[in-house]
Amino acid sequence: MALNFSQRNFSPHLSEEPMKIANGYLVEGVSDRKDDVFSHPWCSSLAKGDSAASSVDILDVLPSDPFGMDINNTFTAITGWLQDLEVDYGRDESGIGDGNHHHQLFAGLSFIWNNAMRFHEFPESSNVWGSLNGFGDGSCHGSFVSPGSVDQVLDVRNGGEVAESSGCCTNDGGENANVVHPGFGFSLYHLGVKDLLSVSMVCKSLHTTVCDDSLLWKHIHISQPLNEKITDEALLQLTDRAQGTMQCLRLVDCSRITEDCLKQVLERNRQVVKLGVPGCIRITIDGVLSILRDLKSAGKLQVKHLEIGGLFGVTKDHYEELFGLLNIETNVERSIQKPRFYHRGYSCLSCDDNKGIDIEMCPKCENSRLVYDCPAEYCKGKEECRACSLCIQRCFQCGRCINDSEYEETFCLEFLCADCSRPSPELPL
Amino acid sequence: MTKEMFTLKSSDGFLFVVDEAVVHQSVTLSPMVQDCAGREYPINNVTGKILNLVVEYCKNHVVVDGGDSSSSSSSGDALKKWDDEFITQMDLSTVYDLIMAANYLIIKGLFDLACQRVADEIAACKDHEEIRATLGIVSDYTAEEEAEVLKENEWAFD
Repeated sequence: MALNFSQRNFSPHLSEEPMKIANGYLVEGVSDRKDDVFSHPWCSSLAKGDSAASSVDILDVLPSDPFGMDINNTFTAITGWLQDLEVDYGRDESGIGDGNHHHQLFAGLSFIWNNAMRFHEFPESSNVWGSLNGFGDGSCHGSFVSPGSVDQVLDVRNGGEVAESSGCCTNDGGENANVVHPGFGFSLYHLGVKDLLSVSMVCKSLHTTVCDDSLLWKHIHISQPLNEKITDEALLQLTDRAQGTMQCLRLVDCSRITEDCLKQVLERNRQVVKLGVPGCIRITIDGVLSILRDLKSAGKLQVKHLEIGGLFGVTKDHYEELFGLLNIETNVERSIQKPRFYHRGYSCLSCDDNKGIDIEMCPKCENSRLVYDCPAEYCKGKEECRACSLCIQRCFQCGRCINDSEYEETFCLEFLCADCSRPSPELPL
Repeated sequence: MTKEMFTLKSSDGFLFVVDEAVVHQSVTLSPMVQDCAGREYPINNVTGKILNLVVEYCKNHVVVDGGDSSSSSSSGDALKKWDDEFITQMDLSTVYDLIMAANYLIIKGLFDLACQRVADEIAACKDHEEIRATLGIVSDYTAEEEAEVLKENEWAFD
């Protein structure tokens, strides 16, 4: 995943400017616009936001800095900076970025802003910057920071260092008890679904963050151990958190997920580019084709990469129709594609694989199945050793062919080559 | 060939003299190669303690000129091992500061390494209570709210 950073061009004059530490942590490079940044009243920024916020006189509703954190200056500065950046970089409402770092910066900043606003329970605050969510290509990062930690992080002006704590929070004992370090927020994007759900149960602000940040749910990958537990209802709940911006959905061996649920998920998230349902036994090839056909006829099919290895009964007709629906060229050069190796029954390719469809015509039996390459040195590059798992038996562990070589059959009727079945040497005491 | 050296100044006044290869690892600092040779470049958002760690990381990740990146899986392993030791020795609050510094300086490898450390720490916790203890977070749920949140996620944790 990528960074949350600005692609502003470096200006040498910045090094000569007086240090704007109070705002420098987040607003580095805008000190030349200090008049705009610091003079904007906070309420006027709300008035420029979504219409939902404009009818309320915010000044009457705002608490006047109840915790003595000099919040107005901080918010004014951040608000003004966000506005300036918005003007500079424009908006991409499509939600599918090209990895543009500007969008990542927005995503991160909107995340900060939404949570800062929420912490102070400003009315209708979540609507104001909500439109900034959904940028980027899923590799965006955001962080979140409560007003307390904003000041903590920014407050080097008083010569104080950011207070160190053993964890990611400091607890001022007040109403806003959990002041979370912004660095922690970035790490959320490296968590799997189960860990995200655990984090959401830790405290209210993290719950809000996990549920409301659509960027966390842009790529959803469900495998062990959640695959056997996830139900249709749970999958809908998770995918709804992407707020229509989900781009990659991979369900590995999710035996409870039905075709109806998959259809609903794709109808609610029409920007899905990569879809994988390997081993989902309640989903059939006909069901997948029906869903893709409906989306295509509505002009809303964005799927370009499909993983269906393990679905039974895929015929040549199904295969050709899939190519047609996904607009995949049939003469793609194999040399530019990554080899696929057999390993514990799973295809060793990640969401980054660029093949249009994972299955292909087996060169030996001509059925549409997952075709494996051979990792053995003596087989590398040989077309004779590319075939499905029924045509060429492979080692369960390393994936090499074991046609004529020594092998061991395990209790689960899988095969291990001579190297993998050898017991590992004992370590000296 | 003499290498050009650059001076980075942390927010608390510490100076770090580094060569061009180190500076180039930071997307933020790369342009200064043309502009700031021989002058101090202040990095206002990063303290000396953290900048020291950043410089140490970058020095170890300098790609040797003329080196063949494909030749050395063993040196790749050694670097990975160094990275693991580097990030594991720190406490979490230092890691958070390192994340912010790597984000500002745009050093992707360091950013990912530090974020992954935090993610691993969370993944190692067996439940949300252990995450609270590890991260030093006090729950602000009432009993009813907590029961509601647990129910919302009970499908994943039975």
